[in-house]
Amino acid sequence: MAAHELRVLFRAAAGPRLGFGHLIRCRSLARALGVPPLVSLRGTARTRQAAVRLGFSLADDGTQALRDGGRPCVLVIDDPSAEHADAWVIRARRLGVPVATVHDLGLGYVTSDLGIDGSVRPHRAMRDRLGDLRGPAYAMLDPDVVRWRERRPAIVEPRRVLLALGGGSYVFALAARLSASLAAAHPGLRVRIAAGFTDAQRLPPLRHGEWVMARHGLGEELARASVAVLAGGVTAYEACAIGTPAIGIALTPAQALTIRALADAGALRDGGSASNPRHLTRLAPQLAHLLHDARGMRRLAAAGQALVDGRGIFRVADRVRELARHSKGGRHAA
Amino acid sequence: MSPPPGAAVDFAPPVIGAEEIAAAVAALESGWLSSGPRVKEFERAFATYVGVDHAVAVNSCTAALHLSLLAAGVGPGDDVITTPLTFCATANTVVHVGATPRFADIDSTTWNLDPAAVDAAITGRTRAIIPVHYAGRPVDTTAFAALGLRHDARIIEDAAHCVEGRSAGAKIGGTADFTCFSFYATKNLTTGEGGMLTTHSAAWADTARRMSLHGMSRDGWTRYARTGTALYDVVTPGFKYNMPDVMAAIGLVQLARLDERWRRRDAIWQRYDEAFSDLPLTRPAPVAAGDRHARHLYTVLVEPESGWSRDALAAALRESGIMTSVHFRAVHLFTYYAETFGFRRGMWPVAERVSDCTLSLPLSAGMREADVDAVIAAVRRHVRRLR
Ligand SMILES: Cc1ncc(COP(=O)(O)O)c(C=O)c1O
Repeated sequence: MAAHELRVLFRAAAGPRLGFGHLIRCRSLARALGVPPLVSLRGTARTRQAAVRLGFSLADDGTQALRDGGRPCVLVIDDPSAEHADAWVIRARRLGVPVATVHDLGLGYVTSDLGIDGSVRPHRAMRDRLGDLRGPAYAMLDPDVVRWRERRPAIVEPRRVLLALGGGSYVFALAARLSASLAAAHPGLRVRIAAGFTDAQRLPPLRHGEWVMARHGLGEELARASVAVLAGGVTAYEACAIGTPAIGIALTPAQALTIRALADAGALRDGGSASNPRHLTRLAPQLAHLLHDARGMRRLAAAGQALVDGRGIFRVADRVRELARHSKGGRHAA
Repeated sequence: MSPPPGAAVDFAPPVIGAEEIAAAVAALESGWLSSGPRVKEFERAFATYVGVDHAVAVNSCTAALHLSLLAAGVGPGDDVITTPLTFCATANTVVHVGATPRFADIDSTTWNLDPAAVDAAITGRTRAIIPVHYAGRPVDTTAFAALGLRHDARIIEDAAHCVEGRSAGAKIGGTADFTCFSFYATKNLTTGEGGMLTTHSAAWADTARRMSLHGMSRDGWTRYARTGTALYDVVTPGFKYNMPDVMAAIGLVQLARLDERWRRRDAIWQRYDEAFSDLPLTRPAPVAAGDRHARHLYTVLVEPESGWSRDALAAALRESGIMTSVHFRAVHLFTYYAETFGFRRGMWPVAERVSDCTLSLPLSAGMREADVDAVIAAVRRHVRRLR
């Protein structure tokens, strides 16, 4: 099927609290599929503006988007709320539109025509569902990650650290504080801080470090950094795939699970939780130790790359395309 | 998900996924369409995969074979020994350089060129030997290397089927003087059309590279580079065998996904082996210890004891929506070879028997489980019906 025949509608949740991970993942899939990113968004008016800045076209947030002349070949849902996701699965099925659903660690798990959980520890319910895609071979990362993985050896800079804690505004204070303590502990360190997807004007000034606006993904920043400090979202998987040694610091319980699982695989250092002041204080010495441990960094990079090859987005795209191809004519039409 | 009823299972559907499409689009958008940075990168990555110093990307395996023979200095008055059980290109290129193709018979279990038979066929005129890793099964590379040294003959491996292969632990591509790979549409690694020549020798690689581009002393990428010069010399009239960047872009993705797709074909292979174990068909022999079969073609012998002729079974399977193929009709039986060199039926009887009875079943990483089920069901149904 040529890309232009393939019409995909994304339904994603995003916002200052949820972050933009779900939306970014949809954009990655749209790019891998070669289709325009058309999203029906669950989020506020401000989030909708952010989505437009990220390159999305906004579809109706009711079911109108599933009907009309623009009836999609596939609906892709990335929403951690099972309740909201399920409502859309039911509507799509009634209209004969096949559905793929994206999950992490089983959050918002609903049954659909194609379940995708690219996390290191996929949801138990997905372990025995035939045809579902599970495990880090299906981690849905930025399609450019593969390129940065190849380029990293030529462009990595010593003493360059990336702080990427997510897209929400709640991370600003934390990032500023962390960068100050890192800079104090290691003068000469270049700290870059991912600013997420807010307006550049709304960013607080920094005493130490520089804000990075990375609307097009963090691939290059990760590839250039000798070490990264991350929360346990998509960026942690991207660091693994690119081969950037990283310390994970969890902002949510779900992120703590991911960080622990990646750390168990030897692909990430567990930095604990951001809500624990002791863990936060420990972070600067932990980072110093890692920066001086060349062998440890190599091991982390190798384990990360072995676990996540960065091609999951393309594997998922192929299956979504197949789903569209084989359900022409509305397999689920009531 | 089951295929629609009556749907055909293709013989070897290529696996071109979203990643290949994205890479091809990026190459098209890059503004550089002929051989350029992506070809260089593909050559480097392929050389690393194989474990050799030199890889020369070309537009077919046929071109790689032709260039290998030229670089090896094979020409008029020379003989080249190969297997009759191969694609015509293997022998055609020998004729292209003005040499004479000679054949030796294959081994009756591996269906690969038999080193002992080659040894017996070698004469003072033998300049090169072209073993073919038939269907993806590595030949005994050690035996051929020894033959080459003993008789001062160049070993040119036709690895069109064997990009993932290993022979006695060694990666195919580094086991001979020259190794030629095919990236044709049905191959394990495909760029639509394409090929690669690998060698340990810088001098041979240089010759092959120059002869692949008109015999010019500088390629286009170097001539048009900012720091380059447009001047070049022509030292011999070469050919136009270079690979375009768009193909290399696809090849780079295919290379990165090669082992993943090999595992899928290997799983299909195991399913066929199990499902056909009680049928009166000769299945491919087990793989020798230390070897890795590239799982390119799953070929069975349909011998008279099965109650079927190969062609009748192929027709019955086609009726059931299962497409098959034949690898190969023995080359010496083709009109040109029979008439030009006086080859006759009976000269290489093992190859002729395989040529008469071999049938290749669908095998591709692009097959869904339901496709494999359909092939197994159809083969079992037909073969048992006539028993
Ligand atoms: C054994 C063998 N050698 C050579 C070739 C020629 O390959 P190409 O089509 O890339 O020239 C083929 C192609 O099918 C082949 O099977």
